[in-house]
Amino acid sequence: MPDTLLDRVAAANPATAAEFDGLANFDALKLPPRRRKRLLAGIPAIAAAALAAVVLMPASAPSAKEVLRSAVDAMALDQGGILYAQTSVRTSYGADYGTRRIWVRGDTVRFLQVSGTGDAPAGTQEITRGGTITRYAPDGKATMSERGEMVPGEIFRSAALLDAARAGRQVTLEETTLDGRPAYALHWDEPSGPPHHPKIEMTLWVDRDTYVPLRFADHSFGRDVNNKPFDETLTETVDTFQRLSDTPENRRLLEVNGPRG
Amino acid sequence: MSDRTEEFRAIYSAHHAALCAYFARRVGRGEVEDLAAETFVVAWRKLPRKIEHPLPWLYAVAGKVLANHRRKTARRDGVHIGDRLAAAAPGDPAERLSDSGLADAFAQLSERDREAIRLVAWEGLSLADAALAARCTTPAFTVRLSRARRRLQGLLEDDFAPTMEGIRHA
Repeated sequence: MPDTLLDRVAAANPATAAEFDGLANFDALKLPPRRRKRLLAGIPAIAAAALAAVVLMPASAPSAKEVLRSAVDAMALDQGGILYAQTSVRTSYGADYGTRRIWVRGDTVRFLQVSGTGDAPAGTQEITRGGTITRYAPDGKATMSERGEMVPGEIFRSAALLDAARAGRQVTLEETTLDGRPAYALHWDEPSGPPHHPKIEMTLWVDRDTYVPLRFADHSFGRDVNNKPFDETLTETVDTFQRLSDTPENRRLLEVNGPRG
Repeated sequence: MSDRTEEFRAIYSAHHAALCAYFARRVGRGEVEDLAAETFVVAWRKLPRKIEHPLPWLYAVAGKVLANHRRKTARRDGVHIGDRLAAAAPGDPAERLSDSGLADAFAQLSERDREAIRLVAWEGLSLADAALAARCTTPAFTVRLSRARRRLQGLLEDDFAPTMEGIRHA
């Protein structure tokens, strides 16, 4: 299925590599002598990076690594069954992304906008299957189909969390309560980009007993493309999070005409 | 010449044109070859010893070189970077987009959104490679691209709606 939007952008590509064929001139490069790195010099840095996730976390039990691992397992998309979440998304800048329900089984995802109109009208659905995303209007009519794989809500970003920890990025752990519920808060920064390199801070709260996700916050601030200061927070709160058994009946939850909740 | 230099020469020969095209999509033509050369000089210093697929990594280096270039240019010209980005500079690739509706919508996106779309649509990278070039995880890039697509689609639909309204009332 063609991705008409990206195809349109690709067609407007203002430059091709072929235009620069034959212009390479390696000998004109002024290459400085390479600095010889001592292998051993890198080892403490690597070890420090690997330990960063641990050292910056309190020494409370269970260890930060265990919390991280358990949280990742609780959200993992490849641990069998069908993951189901109902979440509500709010932003500090007034956009109300409403309530959405998401079912995930392997690479098949069903997304249902229950209320709110942040991304799409209530009743809109998206089904991702076989590398194709199909969007359905509230009346069930398919309105758009494109190549791609949707990451269903920030709350499922367990892979990013795991990568952050494995890369030695500074992940800090905090024992806290969220709406009266004992929780762990995991804090880390996302890499930023040019031109303004805004600060992007992520926080994931997980239940202290079951490690299921409770809330996710994406806080970014700095200067925008027009050089105006901005400070925005997107918060996704988990109303329900379950791992359903992989039965034929539950698989109907992944169909556009399947049960809605 | 050392093996290391020969390896780097091969990487340079294989990817010089792609790097030039990368810059030609983002800055005026007069700056393209200098920026590509600067990217390779940085890459020479920092290239990992073993890298099987260097192009996404080179794009990541190019992104940093470009950001530095924009900062220096803005400082030299005494303007805010945002002002410079908002107004097309002479020779700006945005002026060469043949699709004016798309160009208008593209210009309204944030640089972060534009870059996510460019890496996939213009550099033709997979999501995993684009994530490497953007220096983030694949899931993070997937989210970034998905949001950017939605915003671009929304801007194009906003642009289209008044036209349809006009036809209906004609």
